[in-house]
Amino acid sequence: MEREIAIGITGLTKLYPNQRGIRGIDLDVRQGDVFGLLGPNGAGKTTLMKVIVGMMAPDSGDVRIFGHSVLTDFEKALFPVGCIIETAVSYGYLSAADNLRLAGRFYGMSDEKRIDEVLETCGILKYKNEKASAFSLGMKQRLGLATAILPRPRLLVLDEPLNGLDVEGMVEVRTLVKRLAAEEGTTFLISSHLVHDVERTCDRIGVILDGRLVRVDATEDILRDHATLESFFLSEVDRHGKL
Amino acid sequence: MASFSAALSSELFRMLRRKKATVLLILSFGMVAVALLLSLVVRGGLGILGGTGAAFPTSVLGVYANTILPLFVALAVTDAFTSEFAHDTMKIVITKPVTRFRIYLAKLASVGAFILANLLLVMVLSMVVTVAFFPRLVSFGWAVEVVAAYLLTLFPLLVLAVITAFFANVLKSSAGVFFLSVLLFLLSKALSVVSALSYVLPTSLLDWYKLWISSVMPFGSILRTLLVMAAYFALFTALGFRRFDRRAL
Repeated sequence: MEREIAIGITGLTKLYPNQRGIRGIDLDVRQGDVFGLLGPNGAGKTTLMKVIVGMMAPDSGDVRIFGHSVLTDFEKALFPVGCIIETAVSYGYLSAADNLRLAGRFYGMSDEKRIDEVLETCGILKYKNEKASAFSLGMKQRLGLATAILPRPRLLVLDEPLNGLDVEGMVEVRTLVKRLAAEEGTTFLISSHLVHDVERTCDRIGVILDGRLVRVDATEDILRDHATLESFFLSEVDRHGKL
Repeated sequence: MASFSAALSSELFRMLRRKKATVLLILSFGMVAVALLLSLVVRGGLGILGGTGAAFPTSVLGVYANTILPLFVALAVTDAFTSEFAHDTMKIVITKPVTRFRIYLAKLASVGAFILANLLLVMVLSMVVTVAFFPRLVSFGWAVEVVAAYLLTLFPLLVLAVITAFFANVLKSSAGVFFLSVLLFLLSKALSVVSALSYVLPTSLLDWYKLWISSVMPFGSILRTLLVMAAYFALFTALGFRRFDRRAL
């Protein structure tokens, strides 16, 4: 049986005044996919993610999340979504727990046990009552991840989720992604400049070059023809004459 | 509606946790204390601010609503909009399941709650002072008049808030929004002195409570002021939201 479409993107275009951005992107990400976005700096990965989560409106096209359009049915579309875009941001004058309590209000959640659970999962439970302004970059990233997974989202959009994390943190995040995908069927859309990490985490890959989605394939199929994801990515860049 | 409640409670929670709100409330308290001190040192009781001791609360309101409170409103609005954009924290709420329209309204409502809290604090303090120093002048009618004056002042201050919110969604700097608000406020004050159309200026609306508590109630002037306020509110809420809605993060 074909899985439900978690993210359905049709003809999505968003151009900045300098003509960078994304152009005519069509993409389906199905429930349970761990989809990795690869692309050079400025290719349009973050722009695509920003449009998906409503941080900016597209010039044309639409994004449907589990069938709900982000343009016409925003609240229903975003309800099953957790995200970290660019950098994980939190209110510095609030404790980690208060940041999570605030986020929980938007999902009708006030479960203290769940807050402890996600803080434990992200390795910052002992800092629960400390203000976020005192956190290091890595701890802020962990808090951002805790906030994103708090409402048990069906879809997680993670833009450079490993930013600021130490090796231990990177392994923990990778394990968490795999566990949530396997046990809860969570769908992931991940962009990362760490190709090796994408290779080990994602089961489908999309390559964005110059604002266009030029290739979508299963990681397994890619690795059948290429020694590593890195060599595949470089060959794609080369093929499209972008190097 | 649940998403609006979540956005509003989030705004109020954060406002209460920020030191700035507490500082502003303490300043309000200090304002009444200074007014009382000034009044007491002047011979004739509370004559510096009003004709009689019973007029102390409305006299304090007249000074407070035309000087310090508009500054507080500008600070609260820049905190709710410009500062959040500048610190990138706006994306926390923007990426939650709540529409931008509801976020915008929740932010304005939280500013409204802040203004109301300030007005109520100063009202209670000034009434307590009057009761303590002039117990014989206090009556039920006096209390109703004072409460009405303070509550009515909320509306023109909300108008100032939506005008400031528009600029807070146009300019990127909190300091820029604050100083532009102060400049426009002073300009409007100056124009209201010389202009024949002073009744349409936002700052002239601040004294509209006087229309309600005067011995003969001028219904025509009250209706005109109400319409002017409604027009400002609708126009600047629409313009401000348009900017807020289109802003990319």
